[in-house]
Amino acid sequence: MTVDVEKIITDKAEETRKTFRALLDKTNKEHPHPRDLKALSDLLSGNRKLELWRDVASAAYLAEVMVIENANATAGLKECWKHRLQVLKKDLGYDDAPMLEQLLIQQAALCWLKLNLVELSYSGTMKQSITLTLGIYWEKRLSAAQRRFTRACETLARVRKLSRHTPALQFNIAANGGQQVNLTK
Amino acid sequence: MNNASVLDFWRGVLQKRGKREGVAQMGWEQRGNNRYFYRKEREGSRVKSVYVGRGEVAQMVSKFQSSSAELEKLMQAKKAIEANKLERVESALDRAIELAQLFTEAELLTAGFHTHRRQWRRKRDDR
Repeated sequence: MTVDVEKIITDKAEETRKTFRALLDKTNKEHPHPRDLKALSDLLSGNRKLELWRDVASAAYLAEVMVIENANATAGLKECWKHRLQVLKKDLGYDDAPMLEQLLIQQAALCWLKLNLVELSYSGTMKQSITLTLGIYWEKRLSAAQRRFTRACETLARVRKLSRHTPALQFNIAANGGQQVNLTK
Repeated sequence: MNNASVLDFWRGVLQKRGKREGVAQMGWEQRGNNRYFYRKEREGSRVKSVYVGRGEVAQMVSKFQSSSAELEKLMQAKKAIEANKLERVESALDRAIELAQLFTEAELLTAGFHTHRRQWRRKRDDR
């Protein structure tokens, strides 16, 4: 991947992050102003052409490539990791998941890979005689990777739990005898 | 390379160094008519001079020490490149994760949820 592509993705992701952050700060309260909520809703669904989720997916893909390419491993091992990552995503239900869950599955898989790589380096470093500073540094990196992975799994679980109670789409079908049947998709 | 050619090599190196007039060579000290090589060791806030010797052996030790310092510098430069690479990966990862979290929050907010003491809740009348 060329540096230019990396820069474009990074800049776009940064821009999206700023837009999101500003609107989220305004709307994340019990009674948000309807105008702000509408602006956020428009940003997500109204402006379909913007396809903001693509920015998130691109940034995650770039991170995935960077994590694998910069790992201290042979080319063969890197290919195995790529394959393992795809299998993990599939196991987490990537193929049939809604778009938001797909992004979260991608994030959880990425965090899992990073955690494994850090653990590998950590155990390799700990075998040698090392300084206290280096030991603390690796401990911190491992804790950060574990925290990221836990958080990613928690978010995925939370969204799945909440979305179970929030049907994405509901059809109301008028049945014979004046009764109404509600279907969810 | 035999012993004589090794000594010639070191003489050449030292002669080149000698051309830099007025520049003190690290570790070499003039005592009387002779120059002696001292290794510098730090003890807390004090720097101690430890005598190594004079003559060609001392010259070889001196050269070895300066080249190991260069090696150390090269190693540090390599480590800095690796650290920079690592930092780039970490920042890309952080950016992707933060974006995914923000996107999730945005979806939940538009679906009628909000956070109360870091817990996602939904307004009673929205259920």
